[in-house]
Amino acid sequence: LNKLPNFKNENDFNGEIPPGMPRWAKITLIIIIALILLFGIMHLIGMGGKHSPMNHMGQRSLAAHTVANKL
Amino acid sequence: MTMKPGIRKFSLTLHITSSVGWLGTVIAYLALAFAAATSKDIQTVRGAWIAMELTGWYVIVPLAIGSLLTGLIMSLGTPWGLFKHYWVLFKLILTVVSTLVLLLHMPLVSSLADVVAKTESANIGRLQRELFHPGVGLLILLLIVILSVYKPRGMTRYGWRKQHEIRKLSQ
Repeated sequence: LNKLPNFKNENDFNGEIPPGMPRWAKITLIIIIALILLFGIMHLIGMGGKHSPMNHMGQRSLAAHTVANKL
Repeated sequence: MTMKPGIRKFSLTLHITSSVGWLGTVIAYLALAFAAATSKDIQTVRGAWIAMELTGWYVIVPLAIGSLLTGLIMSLGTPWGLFKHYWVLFKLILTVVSTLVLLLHMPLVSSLADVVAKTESANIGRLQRELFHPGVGLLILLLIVILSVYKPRGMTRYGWRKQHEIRKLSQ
């Protein structure tokens, strides 16, 4: 344990400042969040293949029944 | 914990094989989904859905899980780590999300394949289309490939702290 560095707080690394998130990482993070939001919105409004999030809960018979009724 | 070079190469081979296989199969799945969505021939539509169901369960799902597991082994068994670099962290998030969506979506593909098998040719135009999921999935997999090849610089706070600790201990 005595070998572990003794920092006063997590921002104190002998005067060195931890790097911030690079620009590419921020852009990628925004793309990931946008994709997840797009996915969620498309499902909620029924454009992700005309089915609701209920169909993603493993309710195979319900999904088949719903689609069969549409035909 | 760092792997020996032989084991690392073997794990890397498994990881690349499963990841590239996953990407290739999603492209093939997209072609089948396109055929199912546009064809006027009921036999073609039925055949495409049968192939999509089989490909999904027996190729895409195992490859996705394999890619996730070998990726975890690779990151934990090499100095890259799992949470030290942004590109590794983003790959992990994208792979986990893609795999979860895939596992949740596949039962619906099976249901729809069953429905299509019982559909009369007169109702072919009213069948559900399946282009959204493989399309978005392909975009995500391409993003993962870009991150893997370019490995853009950028260390997380955790990675930076770990590196700082190692440097301190070595002094």
